[in-house]
Amino acid sequence: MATESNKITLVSNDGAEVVVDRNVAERSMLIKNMMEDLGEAAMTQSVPIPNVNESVLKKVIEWCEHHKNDPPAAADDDSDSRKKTTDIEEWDQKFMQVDQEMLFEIILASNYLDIKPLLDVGCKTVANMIKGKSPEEIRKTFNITNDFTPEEEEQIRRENEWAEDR
Amino acid sequence: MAAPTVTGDNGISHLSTIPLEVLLQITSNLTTPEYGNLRRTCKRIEETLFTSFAREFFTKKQFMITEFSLQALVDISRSRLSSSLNHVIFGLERPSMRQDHMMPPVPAPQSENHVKSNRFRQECVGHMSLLYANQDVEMLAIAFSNLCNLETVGIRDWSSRTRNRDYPYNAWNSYGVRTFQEETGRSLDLPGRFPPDPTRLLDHAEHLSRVFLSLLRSLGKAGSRPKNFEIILRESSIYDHAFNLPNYVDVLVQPVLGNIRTLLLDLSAEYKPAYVNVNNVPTECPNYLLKIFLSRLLELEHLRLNFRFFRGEDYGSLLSWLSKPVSATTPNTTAATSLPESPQPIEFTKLRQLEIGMITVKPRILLDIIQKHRATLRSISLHKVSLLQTEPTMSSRDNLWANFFGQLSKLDLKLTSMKMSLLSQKSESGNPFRPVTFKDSRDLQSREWGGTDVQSCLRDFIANVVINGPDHDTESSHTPESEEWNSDGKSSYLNIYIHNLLTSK
Repeated sequence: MATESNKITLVSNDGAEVVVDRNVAERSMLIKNMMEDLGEAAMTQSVPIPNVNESVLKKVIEWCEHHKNDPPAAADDDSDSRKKTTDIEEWDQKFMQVDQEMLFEIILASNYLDIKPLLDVGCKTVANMIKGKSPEEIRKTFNITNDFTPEEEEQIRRENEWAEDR
Repeated sequence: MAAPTVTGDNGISHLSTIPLEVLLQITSNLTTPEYGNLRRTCKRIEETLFTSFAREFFTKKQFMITEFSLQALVDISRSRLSSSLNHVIFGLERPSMRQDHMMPPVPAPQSENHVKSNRFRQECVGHMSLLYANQDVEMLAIAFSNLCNLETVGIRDWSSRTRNRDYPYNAWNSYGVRTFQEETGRSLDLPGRFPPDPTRLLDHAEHLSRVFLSLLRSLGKAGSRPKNFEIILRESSIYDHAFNLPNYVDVLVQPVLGNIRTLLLDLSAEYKPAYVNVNNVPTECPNYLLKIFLSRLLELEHLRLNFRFFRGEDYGSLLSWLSKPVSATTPNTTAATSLPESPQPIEFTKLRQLEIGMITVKPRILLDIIQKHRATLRSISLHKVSLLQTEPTMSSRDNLWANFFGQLSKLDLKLTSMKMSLLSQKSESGNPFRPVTFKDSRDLQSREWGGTDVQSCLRDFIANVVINGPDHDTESSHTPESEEWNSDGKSSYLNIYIHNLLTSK
């Protein structure tokens, strides 16, 4: 059947099979390249995704479903990166309202699966959690323990000053 | 936006354990101060980011000659970032009381106004003392002796606009500029093409010469031997007095000069040329000191000469000297006059790259320079160069550039790259001014080549170079079009301006 042949089966590292439209799965450049390499054979066998568990895989596929019709990102748009903003579209903002463990799992999965726009949204979400915060507030947000001696932290602070436009 | 909160605390921060490339992508969204705050959170994050941090901010850095800025340079040179720094640039900003006369009063609360005014006064006075006491040389020497990987020293009268992180504040300002502005409510004095008070042109030129000498002296004191010296100026240019090397400086800077491989210069009009003895006739010798200075740069591999803001009379003097064969003139031993001899012609035996810009010159002179250095020369760039038509038998429409490229093809050159941009030609009367274009170039006004077959490059240049301009040799010199094509935009106006200024005494 034509519709069936456009679906592929992904297998998470905890053994769950997830059936997904090929065009959705191919938001992942890793999967897209794999499909191209394997040709027809890929449609008949399941594709293992060894670095991603079921709940994260489903979450990533949810994002890919929503963004399946996005135009491909312009390659290295310099003019845009110059005025880089941390604006995130509303749907993605809601999508990223997950606990921190899941947020970093999504980031790692999108990095592994090579889904650049999702990785970008994830990184911007984390960046927004850093923005406007003092070092101590950042530590609190990300459960980081300060292991600097006061002298070491002072040295880093001075290096930061030299890096700034002062 | 509602931020996710920490859950599932297992004692390990996710942020500190993610791969470097992801961490770098996260930090690419942060401003410099935010990035700095993240670096302060813990050792693991700081160590992961350090190489990238050092590369982004401390490979190439611009300072200025103020105590605040130089102290930062000294401190950096004593820190672990010292080894990252291989390119140090000095901006020409400085606090100046004269600047204050031009400023409208700052609309601020009265008390704050007085504080800022005092701060400004303190900065100006401090700057004077710094220079009078030669403390700038002391501080620079400390810094240079610590910077073990220093390769390039630069002087600029502008700031690069490639600081992406802090948009819209995208300038890599000289360190200390922002602090000065915030604390004094005023801006620093910086060379401009058209200062409100024209005498400031000479004032700025003297400051530039002083900075240049301070850098050479402090490099000498520090035993530092950077390979490259890059003076890149957009609003001003360097005068001949910068190149004076009195005996007490000469000993110190000789090892520095002897090691320079790259020299980039934006040269200024000679405002008071020296006179030398040529066959017992006193003869003007523009760039007298520069010629002697260049004779010291025996290891030079890359030379850029941009003739910014030159008067007509100076056309080609320096280049004509560079074109002369070394053996051509012997010192005149029977000096009948008390004038110095003309500096001996020199040859750069290691010159690989030659860039000449913003000048009108006879084709023969350029050809002779290239021929003289053809054994080592690999790259030639000509920018805003106008060839001067002197042959009475030629019409102003004869293609001097095609002819020039034809002559080059006979020189058995071993070039691997050539760049021609904004070329033109004119006859001796200066009229008509004829811009050059290249057929089928993406940018019609320039042509660039890289490769090994120089003959095919020259054939291409000859076949495609086109001389434009009026059909007849009219005397309508100052058409808007010719203005636009002049060597440097406003420079014809500027030449008159400087000429009037320099001859007004």
